[in-house]
Amino acid sequence: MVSVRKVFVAVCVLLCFAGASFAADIALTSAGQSPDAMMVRVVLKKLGVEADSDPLMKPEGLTQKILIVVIGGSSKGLGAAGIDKDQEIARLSALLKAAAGKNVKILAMHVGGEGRRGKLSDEFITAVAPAADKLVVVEGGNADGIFTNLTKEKKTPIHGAPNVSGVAAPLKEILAEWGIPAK
Amino acid sequence: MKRILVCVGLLVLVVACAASAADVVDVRAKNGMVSSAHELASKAGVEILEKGGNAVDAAIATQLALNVVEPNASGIGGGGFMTIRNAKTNEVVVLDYREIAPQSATKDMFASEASKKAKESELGGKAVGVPGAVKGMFAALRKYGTMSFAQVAEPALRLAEEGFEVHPMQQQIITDEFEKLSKYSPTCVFIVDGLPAQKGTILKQPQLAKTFRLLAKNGPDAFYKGPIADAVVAAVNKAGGAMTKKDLANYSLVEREPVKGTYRGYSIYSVPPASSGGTHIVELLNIMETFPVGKWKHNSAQHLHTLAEAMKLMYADRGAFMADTAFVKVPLKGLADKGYAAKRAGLIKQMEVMKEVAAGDPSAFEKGAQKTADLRGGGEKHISTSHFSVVDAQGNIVASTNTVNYFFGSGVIVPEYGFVLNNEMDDFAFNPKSVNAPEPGKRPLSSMSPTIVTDRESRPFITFGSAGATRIISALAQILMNVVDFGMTMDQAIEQPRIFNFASGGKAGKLLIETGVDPKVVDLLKLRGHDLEVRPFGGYFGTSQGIMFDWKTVTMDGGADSRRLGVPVGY
Repeated sequence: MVSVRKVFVAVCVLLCFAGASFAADIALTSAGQSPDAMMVRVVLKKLGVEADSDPLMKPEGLTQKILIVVIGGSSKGLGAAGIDKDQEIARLSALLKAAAGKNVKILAMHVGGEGRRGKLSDEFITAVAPAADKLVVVEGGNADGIFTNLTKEKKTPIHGAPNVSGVAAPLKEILAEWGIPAK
Repeated sequence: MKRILVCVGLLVLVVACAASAADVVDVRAKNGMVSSAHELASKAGVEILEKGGNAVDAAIATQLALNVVEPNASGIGGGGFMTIRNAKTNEVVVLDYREIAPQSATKDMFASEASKKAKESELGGKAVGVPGAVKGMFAALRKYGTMSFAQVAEPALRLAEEGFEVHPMQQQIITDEFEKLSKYSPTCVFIVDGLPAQKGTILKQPQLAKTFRLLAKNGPDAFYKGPIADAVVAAVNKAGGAMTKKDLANYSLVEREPVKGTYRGYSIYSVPPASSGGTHIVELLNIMETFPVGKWKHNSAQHLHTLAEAMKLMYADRGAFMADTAFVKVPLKGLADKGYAAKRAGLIKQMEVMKEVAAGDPSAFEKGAQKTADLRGGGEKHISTSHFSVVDAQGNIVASTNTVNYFFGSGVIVPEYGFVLNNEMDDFAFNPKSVNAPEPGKRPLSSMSPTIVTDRESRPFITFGSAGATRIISALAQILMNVVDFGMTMDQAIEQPRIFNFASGGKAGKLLIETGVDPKVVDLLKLRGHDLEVRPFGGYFGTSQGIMFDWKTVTMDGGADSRRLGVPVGY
């Protein structure tokens, strides 16, 4: 009887450890290595939603149900990551292709508003937006219609938000629709 | 307030002669003026002028207000330089309150690959130099001011307690530094509910207000020996540094003679080492003086080619000779000598582009000159630091450039007192053999160059300076040439697109051209053989504030850089 109890405890302990390494349902990555992905991570935490966050996520690391790609180019961030713009776009292309192949839902987010637009960011927007299933864009980010134009054919829904704190509402709605409850 | 409104009434919009320049807004006033990188800081300085304070009183008020409204760029956790011209004596002095390395510093402290990978010179406690700003402010007030710290701190205190509105550009800066701030100062006021403070937020800084009150009550000892010193040491060491209260207690300000030079009869007074700026502004202008710049079209291919080549020669010298003069003999006279510049200018060929750029030999122009080696610099991308200029009704002039180095410095904000600690240790060389390697008590090499220029009749002409790391030197030389050679107003001169061409290690860097330069000129420069890149109009090329004296109308003409939030205010 004692040995059965020991085995039960051991199994429970093992399951606990295994549980700790279970992947979350959401993968969070950056497109352009700005700190904006980190801000979305904070918003997700406030919503009580866990996400596996890796700004340099590669296709082989994608095991989740949902991929959130936070778009925003930062030459400082790219430099710190030791990559250039073209390498980042190549990584994103491969990741988005893998997501599509695995039927992973893709949510593209642009939370930096007008300040996170410009030549560099626009290249990442162009690389990511057409692949998204849904978009969340903070005010000012789509003032010139770049997201609208890139998603016209696919008729991708674009959710607006007044600022980065305000992305919580559309994020919660989208995640709920995709089966992830949030606070 | 009425007088400020009157001044607003005097505001004159001047259309730039060059269509490519950004919005040009010169502000004119009769009685006094402050031009800083934030309107509220300029107003703080003018408030003190209106209360009867002199230019130095107003300068300290501006400096403190900048700490509140532009805390990312400068403040009491950093250092800087102040150039002061006394209207009665015409004497010009430079206060050097640059940070120094703590006693724990070693030449090889940032030399290892592990240290470089962890960015120890940039982030956290090891990056922090012993701040000099508070000593600088008190020394300036005591010797050259008329008011008490409590009086000049009033506007800044009000701003810190009542708050100010976060501008979209500031939201972007906080966002860009979000990772650093989240790591080292997650509870700071710039992060609201876990996220960067958003535009439109009213940002209050009660801890900083408390610090100002303590300084007003107990003087600089509160910072260097008292409770603030305890908090600084604790914050630095908690973040991985090794600073002691002795480091703070032993900090000493240096009053220096300015570097002097001339450009086409105008006299230049700027900052000697620990800044390389003044000396190399003079060198660059000396080289350019040998060419008929005023006869060329502004920002034409001929103009920019010559300027780029001259910059390479100057930066090659900077890399070879400059360091803290307390530790190294620097051939300041030779580098600023017109004969030496003429020799350097002889190397410039109109249809050839220098790829190899060796340092010159100023020893013929100054005995005892010695070559040094391996400075850092040139590749820095940061656009931090803040310059302001002040003129009072008596004609006293201040030019002051201050910094915490990178935006939000080391990321360490002293929690109890709410000010950013610098990351000035990053201005030292990583190579332990360099003359600019860290050593206890040493000042890292700077490019900050608060500069005062007098005209051919020895009357005050311009007070100006800039942010922008090594680009400060090239920016200020270009602005002065825009005024002297091309007859521009202060703001016209500041808003023109600029170029930057670095050289180090014997090699020329890329010619970087700011958007706004005629694309045809860019093509012509390419044809000449320049390896070039056009970059967006922005802070990379330096952000400058300045005030010019217009002796025809007996008014002050203020300019401030649209690459930043600069606004001149006069009365």
